[in-house]
Amino acid sequence: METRAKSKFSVTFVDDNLVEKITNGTNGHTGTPIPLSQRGSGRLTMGSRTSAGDTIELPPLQEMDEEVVDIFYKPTELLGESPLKGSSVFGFCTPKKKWGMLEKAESVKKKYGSPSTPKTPKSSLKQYPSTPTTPKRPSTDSKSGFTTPRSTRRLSGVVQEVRTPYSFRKKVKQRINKIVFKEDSSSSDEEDDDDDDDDSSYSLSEPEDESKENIDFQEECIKTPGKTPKRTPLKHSKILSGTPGKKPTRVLEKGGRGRKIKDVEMVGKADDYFTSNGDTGKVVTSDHTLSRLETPRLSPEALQSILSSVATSHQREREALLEEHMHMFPRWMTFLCEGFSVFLYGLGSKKQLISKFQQEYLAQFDHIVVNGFFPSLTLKNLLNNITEDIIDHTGSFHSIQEQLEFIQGFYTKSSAESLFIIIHNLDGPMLRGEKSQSAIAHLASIPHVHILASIDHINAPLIFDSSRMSHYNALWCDATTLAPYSEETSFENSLLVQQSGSLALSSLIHVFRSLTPNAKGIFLLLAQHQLDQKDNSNYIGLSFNDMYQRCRELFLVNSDLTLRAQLTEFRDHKLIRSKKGLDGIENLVIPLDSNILHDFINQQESDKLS
Amino acid sequence: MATVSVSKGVFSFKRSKANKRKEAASTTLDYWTECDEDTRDRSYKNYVKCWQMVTNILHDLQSSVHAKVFEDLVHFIKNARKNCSIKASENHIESMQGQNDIPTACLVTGVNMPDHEAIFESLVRLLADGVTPHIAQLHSRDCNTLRSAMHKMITQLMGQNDLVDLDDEVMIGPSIKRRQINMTVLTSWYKECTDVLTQEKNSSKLRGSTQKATILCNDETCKAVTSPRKAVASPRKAVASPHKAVASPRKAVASPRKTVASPRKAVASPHKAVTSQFKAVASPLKAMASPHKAMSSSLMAIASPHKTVGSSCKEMGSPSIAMKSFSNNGSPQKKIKLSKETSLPTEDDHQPLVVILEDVESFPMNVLHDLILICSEHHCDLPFVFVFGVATTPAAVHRSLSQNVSACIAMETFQAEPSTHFLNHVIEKVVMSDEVPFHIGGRPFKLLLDIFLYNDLSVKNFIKGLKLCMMQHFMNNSSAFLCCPAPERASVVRAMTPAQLDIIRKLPSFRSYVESCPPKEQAALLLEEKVCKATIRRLLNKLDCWYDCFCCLVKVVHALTSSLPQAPLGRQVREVLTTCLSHELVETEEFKEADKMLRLMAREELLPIVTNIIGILIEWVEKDENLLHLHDELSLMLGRLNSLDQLDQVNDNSITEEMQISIQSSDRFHLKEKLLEIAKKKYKKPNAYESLRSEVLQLLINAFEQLLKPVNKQPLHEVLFFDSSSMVKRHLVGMPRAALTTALSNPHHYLQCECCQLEDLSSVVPTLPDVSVAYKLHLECGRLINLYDWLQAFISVTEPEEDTSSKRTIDQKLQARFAQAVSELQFLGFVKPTRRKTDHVARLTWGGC
Repeated sequence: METRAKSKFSVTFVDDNLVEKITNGTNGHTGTPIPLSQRGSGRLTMGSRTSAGDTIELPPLQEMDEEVVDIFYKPTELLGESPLKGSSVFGFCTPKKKWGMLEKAESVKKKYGSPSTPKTPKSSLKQYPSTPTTPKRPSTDSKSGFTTPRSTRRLSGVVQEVRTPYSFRKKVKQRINKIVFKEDSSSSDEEDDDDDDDDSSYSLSEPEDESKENIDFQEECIKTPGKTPKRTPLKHSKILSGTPGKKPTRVLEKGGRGRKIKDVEMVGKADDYFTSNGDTGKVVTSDHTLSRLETPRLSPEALQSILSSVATSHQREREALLEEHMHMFPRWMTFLCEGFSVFLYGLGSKKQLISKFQQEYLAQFDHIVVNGFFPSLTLKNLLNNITEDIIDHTGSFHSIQEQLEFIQGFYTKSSAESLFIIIHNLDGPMLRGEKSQSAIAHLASIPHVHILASIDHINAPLIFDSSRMSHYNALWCDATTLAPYSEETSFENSLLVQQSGSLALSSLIHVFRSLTPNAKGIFLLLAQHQLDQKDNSNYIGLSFNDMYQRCRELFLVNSDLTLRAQLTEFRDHKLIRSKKGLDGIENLVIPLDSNILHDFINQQESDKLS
Repeated sequence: MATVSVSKGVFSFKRSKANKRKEAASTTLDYWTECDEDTRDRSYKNYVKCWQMVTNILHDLQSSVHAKVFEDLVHFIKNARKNCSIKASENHIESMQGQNDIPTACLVTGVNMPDHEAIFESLVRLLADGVTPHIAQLHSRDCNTLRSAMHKMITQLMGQNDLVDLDDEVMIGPSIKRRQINMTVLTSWYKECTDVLTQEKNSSKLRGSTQKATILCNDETCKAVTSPRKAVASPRKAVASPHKAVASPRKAVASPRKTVASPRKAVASPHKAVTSQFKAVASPLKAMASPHKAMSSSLMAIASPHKTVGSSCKEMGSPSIAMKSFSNNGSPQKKIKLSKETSLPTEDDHQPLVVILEDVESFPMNVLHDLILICSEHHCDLPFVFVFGVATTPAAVHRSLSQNVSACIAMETFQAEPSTHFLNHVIEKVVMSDEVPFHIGGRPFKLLLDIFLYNDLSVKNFIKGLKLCMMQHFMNNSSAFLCCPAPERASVVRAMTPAQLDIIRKLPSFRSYVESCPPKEQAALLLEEKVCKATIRRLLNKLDCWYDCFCCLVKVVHALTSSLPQAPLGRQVREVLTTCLSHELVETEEFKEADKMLRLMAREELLPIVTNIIGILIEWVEKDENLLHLHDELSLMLGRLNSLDQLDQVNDNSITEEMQISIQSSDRFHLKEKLLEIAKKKYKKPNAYESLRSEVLQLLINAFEQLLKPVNKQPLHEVLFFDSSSMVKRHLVGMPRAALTTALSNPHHYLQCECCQLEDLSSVVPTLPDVSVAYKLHLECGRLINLYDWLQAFISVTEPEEDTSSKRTIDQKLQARFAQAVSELQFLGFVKPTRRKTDHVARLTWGGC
């Protein structure tokens, strides 16, 4: 079947001349000032366009007797001239193919793998079942491609249900781009070379793949000229011109960071939602689990230590980026002083950047730093910090509203000193809520309070409605740093990190300090015992009775009730864990590594000495 | 400075007292570092001045733009009570109904939420000025429960709220305990308020005796002063006596002993205000110990509450409602003299209690229900008037209220002006103003308009954008130091240093101006300071004149074309302005189209337009001779148009005959050709009106051609005009989503490294940052992603040489990097953990590349 497919189908590209005609036609048409609304309603114009282009000039009188419709006021400045600009950011794709990801990775491997170990494509396919043979993708799918009569190749708009792999469609698009682009840019030699490379790279792939690609590609051809003969080429040319194209960047690479980063453009494509979620078919993924690995999950400590040893890529470029953003500091400060809030967005942790800003500019002012990503942050915390630490107010408040009003009263006075509030992650999990957002927006609207915030979540703008936004009075700044979100993600329970219930040393010390001397003694006794037994692999913990005996000897407790009460407290703080042994006796353990425990004991001793 | 902690999310840094510096120094100027050092101060001053001018203009506009609807509203509120009481006197049964219906004004404000605050602010100001001191403003954000809503309402009505805020020091006991704030207290308080009014009115005749009465009963006043808590704690008692007073006001005046009850209370509240501000009065304990002393001081306080309160009002800057109400209580005589209310019959002493609900739609429905029911319950004692701010339609209120609740309110709808109307005013007064030296160019203006029309319809945001443009202009443009109000310009130009002069000389528009001069002048302009300065001054003044003339002609163009079918140049002045600012009007396609239509215009249509244009021009004729000339010529032509007689009636006959002939022809094609021919022939012979019409149009077009040049053709336009939209757009229209996806799919865009250039956005290169690789791989998946496969794919991308898919051990470094990348994606909201399948994550986005 595969060989048959190969023999039967060949790739044919749309003729250059044809495309040229089409693009010229459409371009010529958009050049005329006839408004959009009119274009749709005038049947005559439509007909003439399709048949003979724009040669027929309609007398103006005919247009006059159409109903009076105003020309749309087009937001050219806001959205740019072409509504398709930047659609590549949100272009369509989401093939639900079982091995899509792996194939992609494989293709990279092929491309960038060392030439010394050339891999036959077959071997890779042995590991992953090839796509056509998966049960989810019935063979009829591909058959429908085969049985399409040749005559329909060009013009029939037969809609076929075959899903095209994303990467492939991309290639086709690229090709069309090239065709269109050739006419526009005379100096596209470089790109031609690139495309030649591309050709060779995927013509090398093994026959099965090729046949599939041929089918898909043919469909693409059918669809493209048949269904949307005009728009497609035009669209692509616009995409190319709209996105940060190859040419400008290429020129720049010699100069390094010579210029400022261009603005990004965006236009959402809501329709994609339906294409990706429309079919309710089951999600196709493999059944592999992480337990196939020797270490399915790393412990947080190990992760941290490994990550700190890994050299981050693009260090120099990141620093340059940071440097560039730091030039904006005076501007931010100006904005803040003029009563605006500043919102920073973009990929990468902005904590370092903002901390720099804080150090350089805010040392002279009262300011508050809020870690929005902190999981147990509350609005009350924030407001209390303002009223207690900054205003030095000792009263309490009945409600958040009252506290806000108090703050407002304090800071509306013309004699009030400025307060700066820095919020890392205004979209943090605890600040997302309606209440906290409106409270913070209220804060931002107070004259002497200035807010500098960063946002990271992809859907963050959804939490600001228009009236809240106007309270914030925010100006946006692109502060992409591409720095790793190490601190922000440290609170997250990641899937790939072991969720140990163990205590960190710092929190242990924290709790320990709040204990009574006797309780400290009890805990130290247990810790010491556990350390003594660290070489004993069968150690199951100190039994309660032993514990009681020892504590009595040291005059730490007077009855076993007091000891039990004490232990309950430890248990509540997760300082100890108790296990029932085989004999039914309760054994007590501190759930900590022996080296951490050792550190802890050492620290306690040094504290005692000092 | 560490802000990393596992136990704390908020860190406060109080400025140390040691490095406390002068507050005055910490202005924006310190950070105004983007432009040259020597022009910085000047630019900043100019900016402050310009912005001040604009705010002043806006302030005036704000109150005037809604004048019409406010007038109606105020009238409604004033008369709401009167209508009720008239009804009551007319018919007893009807009065029962009338009493229970709370008069409600439904102010439809439109969807531009950000502007509403300003609308209600000016409404409150207006009401407090002349109608009633008792106003409560409720926001939905404060009213999550009925209790908080009631508390808020009653405290505001009684004027307590502001007191609490102002008291930074120890309060002399909370004026009224939170729990005790209820409708009974409000009722009794209101009774006393009105009593004071009626009584004082009577006493204005017998002024002396009342004064005496107050002094006589010193012991009671004293108690009231020292223990306000007590006074309030027994509202029943307090209510009891005023009842009597109400029953027989005349009697009350006759027997001074009884009248005390009411002034006592009135004294109690201003007293608190005074103590908090002046601390003139000793602590309550002391006051108890020596009642006489306390009495004297409190009397002083009574004697001068008006003064003190008045001054405190001034200090605060914005006269608060509460203070107003005190000043009314404190010095009723004054109040009587001031307000016109008192000249009206006695019923009007019942000043309405206005409750303004700014955003009714977002109130919790049960709270709103209960609030209305409670108020209607007390409506016979307390003359409530509601004002509902509705963003959508009045129907929304009816839809959300149940029948028994909406039966309690008698709603009347008022339509506020749409925000576009306000915007037009702003454009007219600010953008096209000749006072403000700063002007906005075509592109940023278009941007601001786009944001207005397509994003929020909010004038407030438009003004925000305008402010940003202004800041940007003065901050980034070193030549902006010359952009000062016209009267100051002479001195600024005179004081220019050579360096500053060089800045101006380097401006492209000035250079091209120099090049267009004869060579002799060129040398003088470039070398001689004096000549150059004189030229700069002249050019700037000329630019000012030009802009005036420009704005006038924009209005002329608007008058000319706005009524055309399809309005190719737009129906609003702003649209014409946008076109004219950035393009040469006569050259634009839109104008050519409009011109075509104008040349076909009938006389009846043209006449009013020309009259209109002359009306516009007449305002400007003194300022510019070009316009004067245009005006005179147009008036002449108007005269000719009016006196035009129908000369060309005769010609028409022949044409109609011809037509009849052609109609006889049977062939369709021939008919068409003939008709075209006829049309052409007809065109060839213009009648008197037609020639006159083309003359008028030609005159106007010549004027447009000559004067409506785009801004950037004028010399020195850089000084006064701000004409770059990219920076403003970047700050106003944030694109967090696009930035994020761009950075992930094409990190090269930001990093600009040599290693990560992508041929197309979907390709993957091993050198990409980890998170980007993980992102690109996850794009290939559907709604669920297998972590193991993802990890394998990740490894094979980052380390192409390694073949790990079969091994059980993998490089820990790679695993750690992958874990970090995934948790970053989780943090960014692209994936989330799921329980649908082991070791899978759910994808949260769709599309993308």
